[in-house]
Amino acid sequence: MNGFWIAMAGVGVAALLTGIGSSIGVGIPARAAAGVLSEQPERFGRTFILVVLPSTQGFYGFIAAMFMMMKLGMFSGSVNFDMEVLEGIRYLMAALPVAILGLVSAIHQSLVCTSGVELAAKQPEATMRVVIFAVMVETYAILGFVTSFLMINAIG
Amino acid sequence: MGLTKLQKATLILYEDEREKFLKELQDLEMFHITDSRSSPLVDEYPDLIPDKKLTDKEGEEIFNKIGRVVEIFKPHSNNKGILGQFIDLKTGISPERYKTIVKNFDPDEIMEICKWDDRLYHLHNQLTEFEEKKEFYEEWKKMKTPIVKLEEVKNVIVKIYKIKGKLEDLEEALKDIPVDYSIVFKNTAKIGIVFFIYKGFEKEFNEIISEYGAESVDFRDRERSPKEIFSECRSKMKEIESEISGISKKLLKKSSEFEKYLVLYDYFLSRIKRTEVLNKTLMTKNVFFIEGWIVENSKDVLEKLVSSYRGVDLTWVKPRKDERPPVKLENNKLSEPYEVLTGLYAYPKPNEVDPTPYISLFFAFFFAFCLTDAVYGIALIAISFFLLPKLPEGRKYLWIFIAGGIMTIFAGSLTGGWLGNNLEVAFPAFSGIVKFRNKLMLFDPFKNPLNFLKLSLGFGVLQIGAGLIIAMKERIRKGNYLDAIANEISWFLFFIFVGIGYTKGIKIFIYLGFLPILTILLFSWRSNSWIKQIAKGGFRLFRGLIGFLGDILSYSRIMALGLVTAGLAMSVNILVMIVRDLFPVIGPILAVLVFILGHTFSLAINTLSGFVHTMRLQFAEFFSYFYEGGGEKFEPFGLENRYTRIET
Repeated sequence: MNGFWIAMAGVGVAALLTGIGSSIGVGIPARAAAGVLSEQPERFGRTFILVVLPSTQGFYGFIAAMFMMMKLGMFSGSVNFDMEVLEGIRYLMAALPVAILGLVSAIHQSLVCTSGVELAAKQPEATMRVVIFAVMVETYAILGFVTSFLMINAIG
Repeated sequence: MGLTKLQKATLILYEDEREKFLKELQDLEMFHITDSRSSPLVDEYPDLIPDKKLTDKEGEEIFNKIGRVVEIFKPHSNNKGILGQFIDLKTGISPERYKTIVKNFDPDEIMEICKWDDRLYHLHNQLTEFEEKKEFYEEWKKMKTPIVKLEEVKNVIVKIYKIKGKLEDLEEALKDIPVDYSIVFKNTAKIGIVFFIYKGFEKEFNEIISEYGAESVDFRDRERSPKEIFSECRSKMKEIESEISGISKKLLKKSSEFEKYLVLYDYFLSRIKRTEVLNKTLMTKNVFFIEGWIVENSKDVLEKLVSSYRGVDLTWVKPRKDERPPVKLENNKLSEPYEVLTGLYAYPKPNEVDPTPYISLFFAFFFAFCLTDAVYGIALIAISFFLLPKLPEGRKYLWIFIAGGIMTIFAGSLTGGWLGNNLEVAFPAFSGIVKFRNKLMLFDPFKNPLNFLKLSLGFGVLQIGAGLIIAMKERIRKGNYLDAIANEISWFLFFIFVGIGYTKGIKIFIYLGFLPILTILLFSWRSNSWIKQIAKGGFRLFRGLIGFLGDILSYSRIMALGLVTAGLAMSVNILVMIVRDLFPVIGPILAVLVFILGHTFSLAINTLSGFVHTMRLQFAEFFSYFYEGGGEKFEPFGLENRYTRIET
């Protein structure tokens, strides 16, 4: 077993799980927003903010993946294909906080955003308050990202 | 800075002067009318609340019609553009134009538009009916004889069917029954047939035809031939379509006056409000007793207005003991834009501190370090300045972005963010930027993320420390000295002692740290029972220790968002490099496109994230130390501006 490919699995997991979370997360409020827009097209701007909020987790995963690729020397052309298995596992473990927390929090955030879309239809002026609630859920994805980032940084 | 001083007033208004006075009061937009009916006054004077709600029936009727006209013309006049999708843009209108529109208001014109709309609705329904009818008869249009004529043939019953199966099979099945038929149409799916059955053989015919899944056809209009009906449908549809086109043209022409209907909408809404506001007041048949508030500096304006009316009395009064006045924020030019954020959370109570100036101290800094790219900062400033004249409604938000943009240039310089940390990768021509960037850069977030984390947590310590100081100041202002000592001062002493103790290695300071802890435990909450007091003090101590840690850690989001912006910008540059080298000729053109679109997207998504997360830090972390909110906003009785804004 080659450590490099385990590390690459870490890169994949970070981008993949957060990406899945964000795409599900954006999809749920987007469906609700489409329903609202069919009757109130003028609500586009307000519902748009709520729809895009769960997309951030995907970026956290993407940036973590990119940082890992940088560390692996993929952009400087100094990739160590004979990496030790243990080092590869380190990368994989470092990817887990952002990957799992990103996946779960994006989906949960989307539920808050969906309620927000319904609220935006009835009381557009209250939209920003729901945005704050949605941001509360994202905190844990941020903590996951920071943890992953520091873990990756700590790898030799 | 803080809250504006307000003066309470009561107005006694006689019915004769009501409309004129209220109109002028509304134009002034200075007097906040309170709900006297939910005050203790009601218990003293229960008879002063009438059984019926006051309404302006005539005004409401016209308003509803104008509302309908606005809805009719909205699809024709949606010229708000992309910005209008995000912000409720109002139509700017000069006072002269406003007056002219109101003066020339013609209710018949509104009625006529509504009638056209009614007619249009009716015509569309008719058109749908004829369309369905035409579609039905289209298959049978070859039949030139009405059904009743066919039924005149003696001893014969006429039945019409559409069949799916093969005609040969049906012919075979019907060969023993005296039946004749005529095929009207034939297509790939079905065959339309008129059957002539000799009387007495209907039962046998029905049994056979049902086996073939035939669909019986019922012509409702049997007096005329399908051909005739089909032709009639076509000519009727033409007539209807021509009438629809005529009305639509008239409506389209009227839609050019959309602005006029928006003004009338707001005018009549304001008129209705003049009556509705009286439902907050106490009244007899001819006299209204209005309570409200006015900014102290504007007292003379109200006095002057009242002096010109014989039927209006004004008295300056002291608020009742239990009464809470509304709240009007007053801040300097630099802090004023942040009032929208305070309003978004909650207005302060009348005796509470206004958090706006404090938000203004931190917001731009935190937002800047979430964005961490100097060029993004410049872009944000440019976009905001460009939008300022176009978006008077979003003026305060735009100034927040301008301040944030300025700070972002600073934050970007410190972290080396100039369209990412690797612009030279995308365009080697910019390799000169490396020297300039490195000269200004304090740390590279990707190479030294720990420095960025320390900075973010440092921001947290700073803001939470400020929160504690404000809380302490507030307690002292209210005379709660012991509370200030047993809470905020003790926490400060604790952190100072422990901090010195650990950093300098002086044990005595660590032991001294127990003193403020003991003070918090014993005195931070006061009660008649010592057990309760200590129990609650213990809870405060525990919550404080955990709370500080959690709150400060929450500021790590600044680092996370800063890294995301830097990382995204870097990714765009790498993508540009790949695209540039991928294709020989078109590559560089595509690369420029990817560069512009990529960085625009990055700027948009990171500005949104940076803004909402910075806002969250203010509301959830900072405010929890000193601010509760819950005051009523000072909203003077004024003109309604749902769609229009009078430009002064």
